[in-house]
Amino acid sequence: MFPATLCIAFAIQIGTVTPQQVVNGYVIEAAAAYERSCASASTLLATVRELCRAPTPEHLETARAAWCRARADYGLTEVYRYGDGPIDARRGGVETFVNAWPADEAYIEPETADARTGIIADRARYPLLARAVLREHNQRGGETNVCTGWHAIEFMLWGRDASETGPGSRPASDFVDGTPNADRRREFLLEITTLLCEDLAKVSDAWKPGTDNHRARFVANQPRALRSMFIGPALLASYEMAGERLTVALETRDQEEETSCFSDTTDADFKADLGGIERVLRGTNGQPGLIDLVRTRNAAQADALADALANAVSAVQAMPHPFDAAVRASDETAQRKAMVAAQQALERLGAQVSASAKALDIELPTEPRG
Amino acid sequence: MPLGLAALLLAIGAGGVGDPPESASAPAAMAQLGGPVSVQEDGPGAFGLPLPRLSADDRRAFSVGNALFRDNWIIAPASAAARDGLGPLFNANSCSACHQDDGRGRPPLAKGEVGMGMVVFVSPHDADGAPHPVYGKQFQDQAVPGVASEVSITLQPEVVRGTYADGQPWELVRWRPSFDAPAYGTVGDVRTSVRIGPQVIGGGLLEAVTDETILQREDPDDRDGDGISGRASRVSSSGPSRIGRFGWKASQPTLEDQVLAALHEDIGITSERHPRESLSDPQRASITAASGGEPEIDQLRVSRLTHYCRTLAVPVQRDAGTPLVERGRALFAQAGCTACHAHTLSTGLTSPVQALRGVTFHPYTDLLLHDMGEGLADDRRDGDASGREWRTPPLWGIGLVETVNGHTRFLHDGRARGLEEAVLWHAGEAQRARDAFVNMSAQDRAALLAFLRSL
Repeated sequence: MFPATLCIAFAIQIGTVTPQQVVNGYVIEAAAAYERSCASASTLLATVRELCRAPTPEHLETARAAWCRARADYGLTEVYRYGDGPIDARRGGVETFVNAWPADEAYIEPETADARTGIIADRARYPLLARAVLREHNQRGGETNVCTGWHAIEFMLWGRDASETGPGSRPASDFVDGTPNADRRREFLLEITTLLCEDLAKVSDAWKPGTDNHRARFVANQPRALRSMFIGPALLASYEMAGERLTVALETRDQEEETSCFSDTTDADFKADLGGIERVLRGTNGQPGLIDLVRTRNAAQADALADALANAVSAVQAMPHPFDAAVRASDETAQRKAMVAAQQALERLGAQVSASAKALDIELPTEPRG
Repeated sequence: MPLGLAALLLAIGAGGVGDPPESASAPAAMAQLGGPVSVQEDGPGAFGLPLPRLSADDRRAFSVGNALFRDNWIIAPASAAARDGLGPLFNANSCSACHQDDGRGRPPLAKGEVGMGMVVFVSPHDADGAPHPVYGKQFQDQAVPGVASEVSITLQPEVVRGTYADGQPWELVRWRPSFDAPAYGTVGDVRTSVRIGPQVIGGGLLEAVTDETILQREDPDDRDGDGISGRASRVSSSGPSRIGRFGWKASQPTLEDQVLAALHEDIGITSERHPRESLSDPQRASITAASGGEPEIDQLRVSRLTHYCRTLAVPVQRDAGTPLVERGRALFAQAGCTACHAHTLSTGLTSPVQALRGVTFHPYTDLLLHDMGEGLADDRRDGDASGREWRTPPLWGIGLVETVNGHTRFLHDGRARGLEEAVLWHAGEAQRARDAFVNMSAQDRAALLAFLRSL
């Protein structure tokens, strides 16, 4: 199988770029990406604390802006999914807690004003909103109600999105004493934001230089590392972004068939995710990336990958805002065509990543494996 | 242990009734359990792969179906309006809860555990399988906030002991279900049937087998005198009778029927087919809950979910051709197991998916109902099937359940803690086959089980 082939092939240094150089550059960037994500999530936590201390419209706006920045930094880390890394669920990772979707807003707080149900209002059933308790309630059993992570925080900051043109419009007064359950909303928001920071810190630690952590094992097993490095961009671009997010939305033409539906920032998710892919493919901090490695073996394939990446970047940059209005537009409209173009460009990018891996004798799956 | 090739072939040839003997090149060909559209994968995601050679459109439809199968349904009303409508009463909030990673559910193993892949059907004792007037066709042990779940279900294990012919003892467990905290009045004297969600793979192949192929294998009066009298399930709930082939009692003729029934009963999602929530009249009067739309799932999504179930591929057999597995394969046939667990079926030419037309494959099922004896009987009519009859389940993937789902719970109610226990529960028409297993040497039993684990 491929590991043996790879070891032989890469024992000889081809051109000026070695596989180990690319692996080393990758782990440095992964560590930096999660560190940035942790830092901006901590900033979000600080703004949430401030909002809970003094729930003014200004503080709510500040917290929302901090969520958007933190979400963008997180987006740059999504390329490190799917490769059995510390984020992935199968390995006891935290993806289920951090990024689960769709957030079950009615499980958190039903719409009806006088409701005594849901995590926030039902004090008898959920006396404690402590992190450990929430972790247990989140996706309990098979795959139960999602009540933690980015989208639960997003729901707490924006509220439900009933608007066709803009995001949700939760008033700051929801967090002001006097409004029923304001104390519980503050407590819940604070706990789930803290939980997010804790979970991201775990992943970040796994990528820091160490002797007995994921990074150490990753750099020590070059064939497996390279495979993971290709799997992330391939599956994120084609399976997840083109397939699950864009195809589903385009086909069903549904408002809110979108990941960041409360804040209407789904297009920003796409840009950040692709930004992460670009960094892995091109390399960062002066280190070579996967395209450089492919070039040592097959220059035409490296060019094809670089072209597919450039096309995907311009197609995703051209994605209209807001996402939900564009998917519902009729087929002839420019905005709908732009969405279809993005979907196809991402599919092609995924296919080129797989073809590039194949040029290095690495067969990639088309679906996440478990 | 060396075994002459001639003896091996002889043993294989003594297999299932009316089945062509497996040829000398059997192992490699037979290992393609899903025929030419099998997939080569034995990891935790082995049940989640699409058929090879799908068209680009079919591949996209698979992605959409995958998302719908995996993601949670959420409580209405919600911003993600297309995904809301869970409940008000339900057993699970996604398809993937009961079929985790497209695999097999299991019974609750701790008190209060719900949503792991078990449902319990219920009918009044003297109602011949009709739904319970208050609790409906099945108990729903979860509910949206503000609504009471129907009951709390506990399975008490009851030990059954026996011994192999060589003196080796065994210990089996069966379930005694109990239903506590009934929220809508007394449950009364009822018949119940515990069911586990099976692995979803290969549905498109089974769906594409023609009625004629299934009917050819029927032998309701056991005219060939082999003790096996399989018969097809005839479903006549609406319109002309059709052949049932999905579900533990073959009560659903097509994958779409199965998908719609599961959405309705297990998750509480209404559709064009099932426009009203799965509530009894007394419940309808007392439960107020928001609807997630009328219906809650549209026909496009139904067809994507169905397409997904149709295009999940079957992983190849592992270790085919090794002496142990081939000895097990021969013993499996010799014991008569293949009389019902038919190793080979073919599809017709009408599947909506091109790659599934005219395919010969190896599911180890005849899709027929068989009397499985008292030990497995639930004494409750279900569609065309009596309380003693069960549809032969396909055996593909049984050896991967542990890898994918982290457990080895088998049979319709998950009572068997492994494949050996599952074999030992066979009776009725399978009595001879089961007795043959009991009379085998420990070595032969190990070989037969190794064969099952390789599937």
